[in-house]
Amino acid sequence: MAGGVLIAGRAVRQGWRALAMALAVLALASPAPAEGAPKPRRIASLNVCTDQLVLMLGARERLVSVTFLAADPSSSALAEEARGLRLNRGRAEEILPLAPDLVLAGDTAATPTVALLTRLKRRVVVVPLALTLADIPRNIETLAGAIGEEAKGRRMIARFREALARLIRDASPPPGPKPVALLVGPNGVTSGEDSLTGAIIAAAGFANGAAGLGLSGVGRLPLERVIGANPDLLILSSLKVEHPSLAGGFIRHPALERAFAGRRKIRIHHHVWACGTPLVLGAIERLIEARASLRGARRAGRR
Amino acid sequence: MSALPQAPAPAPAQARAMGAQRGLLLPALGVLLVAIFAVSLGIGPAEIGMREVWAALTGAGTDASRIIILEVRLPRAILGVMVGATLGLAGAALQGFLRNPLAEPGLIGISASAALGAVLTLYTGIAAAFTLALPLGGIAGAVIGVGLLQVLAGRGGSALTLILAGIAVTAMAGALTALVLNLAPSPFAALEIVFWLMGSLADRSFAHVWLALPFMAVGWGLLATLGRPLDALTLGEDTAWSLGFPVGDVRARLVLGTALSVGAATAVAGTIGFLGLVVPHLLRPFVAHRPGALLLPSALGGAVLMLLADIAVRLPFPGNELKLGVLTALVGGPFFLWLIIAYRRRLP
Amino acid sequence: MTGLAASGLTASGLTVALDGTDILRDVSLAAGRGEIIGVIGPNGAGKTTLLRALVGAIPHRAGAVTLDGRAIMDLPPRERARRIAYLGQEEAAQWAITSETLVGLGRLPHRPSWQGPGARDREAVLGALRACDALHFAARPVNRLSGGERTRVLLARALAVEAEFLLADEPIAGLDPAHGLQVMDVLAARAAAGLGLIVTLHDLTMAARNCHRLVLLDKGRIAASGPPADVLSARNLERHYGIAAHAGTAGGKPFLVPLARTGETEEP
Repeated sequence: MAGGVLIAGRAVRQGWRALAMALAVLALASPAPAEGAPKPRRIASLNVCTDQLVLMLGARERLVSVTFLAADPSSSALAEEARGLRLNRGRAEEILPLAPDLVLAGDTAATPTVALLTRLKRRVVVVPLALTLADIPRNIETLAGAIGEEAKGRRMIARFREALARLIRDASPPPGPKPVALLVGPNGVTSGEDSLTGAIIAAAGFANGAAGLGLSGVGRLPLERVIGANPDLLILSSLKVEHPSLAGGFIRHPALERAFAGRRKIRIHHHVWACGTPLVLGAIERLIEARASLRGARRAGRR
Repeated sequence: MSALPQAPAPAPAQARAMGAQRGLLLPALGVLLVAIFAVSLGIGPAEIGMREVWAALTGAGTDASRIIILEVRLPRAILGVMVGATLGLAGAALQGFLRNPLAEPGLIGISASAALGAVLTLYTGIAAAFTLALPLGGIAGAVIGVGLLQVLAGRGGSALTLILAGIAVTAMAGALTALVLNLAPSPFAALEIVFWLMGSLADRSFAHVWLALPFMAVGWGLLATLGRPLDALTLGEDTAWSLGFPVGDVRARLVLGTALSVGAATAVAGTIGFLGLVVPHLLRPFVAHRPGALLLPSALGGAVLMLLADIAVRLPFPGNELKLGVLTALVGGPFFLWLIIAYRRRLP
Repeated sequence: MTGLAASGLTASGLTVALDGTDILRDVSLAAGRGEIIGVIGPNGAGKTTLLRALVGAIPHRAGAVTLDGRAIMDLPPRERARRIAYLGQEEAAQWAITSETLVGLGRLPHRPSWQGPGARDREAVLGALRACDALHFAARPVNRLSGGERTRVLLARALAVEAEFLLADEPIAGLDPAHGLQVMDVLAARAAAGLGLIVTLHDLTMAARNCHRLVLLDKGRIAASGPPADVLSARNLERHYGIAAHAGTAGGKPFLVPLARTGETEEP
């Protein structure tokens, strides 16, 4: 109890100094911390996407906690690297005792936690969900600035932009109608236009089948609609490690197997594109390959 | 032997009429079943007209509609028939044996314990390693549920004791099912409790049909042999024994038949209640209240009612269907209430 | 009676326990075809248990029940059912089947499972209904019968079996005097035609008038057995029923009217 008060006291003193920075960060939503501000040494991350970005920026030794999802290979591409770190479930009382000098959060579920932490004068940086490809470099910049790795961040952004441009240029979509791709996850959950996955599908040169069915964001599609929509490519988003459930059965339904045999079906792990990180380039690359293969098959069929 | 003069049989015209009514029951139910089965194939989020349905069934039609009809709607309808027949038959058999009009697999806890057994095998990965584990888990759960019921309600259980025991078993099984789902490693598990408690035929495939059919068929076979014994049991166990029916053996066949069929049905479709209660009641007047004659009509009637319910869940919000248990509870709940009121005098 | 009789329905040394306690101890009796054996005794003596054990519905711990020398458990169930009929006490039909259908249940042991009722079955059912004066409500559902009517229909069911032996537990309970007499006359007629009858009775006059032999059961043991006049002695009535009664004859038939309690019953 006493120790907690001491920790809180020390943190409060630190917090006062960081509060001004935090307020500026939140207000501008595009943080560029004052030059010469000390790097945060005790970073707590409450969001699996910020977890992975921090790890990618090489700041692992300054992390005091990441979410439990970061260590789960189904949700995180960096599960190996997250091993050994203290895992949290996104709750304030888990990370307060760790006396973080920076808390990273997403703008989704943890809002009450964020509000609590802010009220307790912690420095909180909210990194919003990436909805377009352009959000990715912006989020990297926000995060890199918050943790004091601006240079690494700039390098990562440059690499990302270069690789993306190269992919799109080499793919060079031919004239004519775009093939239609439909993304389906366990239980038929699919993403429409206003989502990162929608942006990725569009970048690879596909038209998003979900948009054609009137879905924006995340929606649920019954099996019959998926088959009836008859997209050129069915993208199955599955978890890398599948624990048994009824939802998993949806993706493996015999009707889907029959309707989209062979090259018309591609499986991409959920963690590759759940977060706005440079890893999405891998998904774009695979989709571009799939599109090429479909085009080749169509040409062969026509001959 | 007494040499009494022969009297004329009572009211031959009336007897013929009653016999005709009974004789028409099975064919009528059969025709109804086929018709509703056909309608069921035409219902779904994808717009497929009846002509196209027929084309798909005969191998013509577009690829998409053929796959939807043959791989999505057909197994669903077949499973509906199987599960409905199971619940109707088991309900009639239980009511006949327990001499209790309030008995049915859902109310007396058999479905809930079957669901627990199935959930245990599915979410712990046992069913992934050994597919038959899923229906076998449901069956094992059902057997344990019946055993627990015997312990709680005893041999000469009154209607009230039976229902109370059923409530207890259902509550325990439901709580344990929720616990297993909360602790299961899959992130989807906790939400899937709705399926297990409310039942659904959505997204079922022929895999589920083949998985459940052998067990159900054996269960049906066992229950079908109970016709005569149930008639004899109208007068109680001692009299049935005196008429040559081994009551212990009959009970064993009832338990096993119910566990096999209801266990397998619950394993692939979740818990669907009240069907086994309603169907025998609706059909009892048509078989002159004879419990043995009620078995086969209840199976057909259960299939019809199940298909009707499965059509009804898909109609209001296409693409976002209701759970079957919601519908059967909406209909069966008030029906159950009415039954209790009607039989209130007989309950101790 | 000791030893196994060569013919008839016989119990020898029967001991039956229920829930751990002995209800019947070393009971032996024999009934031949055409005989009416009355089993009497105070409440709780074990009369119902005796009848249930004789038909084999409950197992016995010791002793044997035989039919013409063969143990009844060794008989094929349907044969046993055809030869020994049972009418329980307070039977109630759960379902609203017609009287005729209920009586028809008595014919079940006479045909294999897949067969429907035949002419012989219908004949037997009608005969039983007529004998019990129940023909005029044969088509009525049993839940709409009065208590007395229901008792007669249940008896008709037992008679429809046309068995060689009938075990009837309180067959005239709840019947008005006219119907009670009628039922006993029916049973007497059947006995005269060859039916062997073991009935439990509370009405001692009926027991005295209709039974060839009486067996007095008290606390699970046979206290007395023999012709009614011997068994219904004042001493037995005092010891086992705790009553004093006035016995006499009217119209050549004996009657027995309980008069007062003597407060003396035999301690075990």
